[in-house]
Amino acid sequence: MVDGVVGASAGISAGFGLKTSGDNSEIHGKIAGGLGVSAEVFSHVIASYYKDIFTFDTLLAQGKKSTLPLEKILFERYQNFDGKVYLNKDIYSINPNGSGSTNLTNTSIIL
Amino acid sequence: MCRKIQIPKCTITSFYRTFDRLDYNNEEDSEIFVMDVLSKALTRLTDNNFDDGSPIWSPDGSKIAYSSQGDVWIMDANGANKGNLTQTPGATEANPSWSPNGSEMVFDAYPTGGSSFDRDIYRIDTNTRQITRLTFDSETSSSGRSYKPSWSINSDLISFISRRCNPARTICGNDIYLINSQGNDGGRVTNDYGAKDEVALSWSPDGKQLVYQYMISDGRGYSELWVVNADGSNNHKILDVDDVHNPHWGLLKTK
Repeated sequence: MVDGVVGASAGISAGFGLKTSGDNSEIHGKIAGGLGVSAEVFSHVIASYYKDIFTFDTLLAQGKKSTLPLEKILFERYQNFDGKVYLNKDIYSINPNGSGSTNLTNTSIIL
Repeated sequence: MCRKIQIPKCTITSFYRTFDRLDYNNEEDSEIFVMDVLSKALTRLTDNNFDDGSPIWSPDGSKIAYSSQGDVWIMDANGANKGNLTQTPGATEANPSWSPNGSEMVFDAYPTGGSSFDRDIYRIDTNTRQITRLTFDSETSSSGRSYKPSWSINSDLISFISRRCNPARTICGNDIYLINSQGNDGGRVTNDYGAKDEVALSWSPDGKQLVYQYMISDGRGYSELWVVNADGSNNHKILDVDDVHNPHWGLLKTK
């Protein structure tokens, strides 16, 4: 006795995909459907055939990688006045709203 | 390297070249460096025995204007081809600022026999070197002066600090004013006659706001950073420390 099965199958798949190339990026939506047949003997697939019947791929969104410039305010800070000169002069950056103060030079004196 | 970063007015400053901690009187002159804000690498652009200061990028980033030896100078962004743009005998010119297209500049200057308390604003054509005087505050009162002009990146407006007096001439002090490139009045940004001493300023990249250094008038010589709309509204402090100087507002391109 041979335990064999021959049957047909059908399927539909859907999903999203992200494609990037350089600074460009695209989001695609994809729907695909297909039909197939397969034969199994003792639960082993001995033959199968599946063919996409249709594929629908559409561009949902595209854009360039953000290269928007950041606004920064740079300023100098003079610190540690010893009575004659400031021993520390550094350049800082800050966001226009006053947040994110960062010391860019972080050296006391440039020699 | 900094041309890629595109902070047209912000990536350069002057440092004291050398410093002798044992003898403060041997402190030497200031030089101009370029700093890559991302890597923090410094490149020295000037090396002489004069004080080089107030450096500022041209709008296209190809050149740097600065003040030295009483003149306004221009050099390539890499420090090459230095030359003095202004050559007025006896006059002292400083604090240049480029026009949006780079064909002109404004700066402050005082004449032979004057002092830094006699400064006014001038405009110069960078090709013909023709100079036009835009303010006359040093002549209107003994304490009047206008200085540190900053040409908007995207308009004909020039902001500057001016020490002027109230109509009764009972109070005089620094405030921020605007003119256009012909010297016509463009409005007054701050209006406190020196209750706050504005001493340095810079336009925002969109030309709608100004950041300025406010010297606290309590004898300590401390300063804060404030931001104000060009029409004078929304004047507010952005940094709550009291030792800040020479702000420059620019764009940092992230790529």
